[in-house]
Amino acid sequence: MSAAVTWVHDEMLSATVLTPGQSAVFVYDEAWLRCEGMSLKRIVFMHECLCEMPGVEVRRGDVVHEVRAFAERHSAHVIETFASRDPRLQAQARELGAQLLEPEPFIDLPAGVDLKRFSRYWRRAEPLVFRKPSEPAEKL
Amino acid sequence: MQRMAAIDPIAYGANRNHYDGAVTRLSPYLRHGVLSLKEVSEHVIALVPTPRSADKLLQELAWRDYYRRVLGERGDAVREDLEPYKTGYQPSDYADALPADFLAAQTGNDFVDATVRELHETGYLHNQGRMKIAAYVVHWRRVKWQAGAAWMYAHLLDGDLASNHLSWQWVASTFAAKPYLFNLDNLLRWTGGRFTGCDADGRSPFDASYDELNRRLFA
Repeated sequence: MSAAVTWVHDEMLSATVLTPGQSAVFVYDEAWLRCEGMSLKRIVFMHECLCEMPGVEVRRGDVVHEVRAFAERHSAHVIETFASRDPRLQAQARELGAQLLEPEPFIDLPAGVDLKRFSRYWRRAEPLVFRKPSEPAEKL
Repeated sequence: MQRMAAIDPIAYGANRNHYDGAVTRLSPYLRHGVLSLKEVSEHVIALVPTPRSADKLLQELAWRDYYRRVLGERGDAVREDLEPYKTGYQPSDYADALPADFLAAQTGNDFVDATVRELHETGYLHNQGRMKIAAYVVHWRRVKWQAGAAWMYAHLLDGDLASNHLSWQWVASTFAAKPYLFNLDNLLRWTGGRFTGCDADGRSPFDASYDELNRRLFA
């Protein structure tokens, strides 16, 4: 019996997201693939990524239904996944009541930065992007 | 990973805009989380004397981060015009669907048709190809950017709601101060003589100064 399972979605197709000993499932989102008319090449690419993730159960259909059923089969009370900015994945995570793990951010940008134009973002981001990993963060 | 090992940040900075330039082709891996922006940026910084030596590549990674943050802020609204067009036209002046000759790669223009075929056959386009084909769809054919964005999103291996849709909006001018345009000189420069940019009659719709194209294409 495991307390948690991992829902692997299409923005986390790396073996590094897997927790040793924790069951994981990926579901080809049929509604999304059909609605957006996703190419076969894209599906093949995702399949190739999944082949590098041993132990992940791969299913297709309704994501929420399939992940929930997977968790029940594993007697898991917690579904873990990575937080995403994609509204489709956010809605599915909400419906599943998933526990969200934050992927490591590109830069630690303070909240509230004006995103109306890239130039405004860049004024705040540039010093962080060009900072060597060993350098301390400056107060922005 | 082989593609990470092949990254040359200095060459990228020098020639990334050329079709034969040292682009990384990491985007499908970034889109699907096989690699993270952080992982790639740290790898890139370790390859160069100072991070500034890799400024162009790091800025391109920042664009991807920026678009993701905008998606996080705006959500599904990125599917709609974030701002009015700055072309002098209203959204209703643009067609809803892509023309059949475009989708069939039978416009007669060698650049356009080859680009459509390349996307359908490989799932990949160089960034210059993406921007120029988007400008062709929206400005020369006057089709809503959403139709082109949906088509590209479906075919690209790296199809991503944030980078794809917001880049189309940037070209269209619904997420930029002005529309993106190119002319024949620019096309020939970055594609290295691969295309003539001409239609079947030997004339190019792109062969004009930017002032002239602005007069022709916008209200």
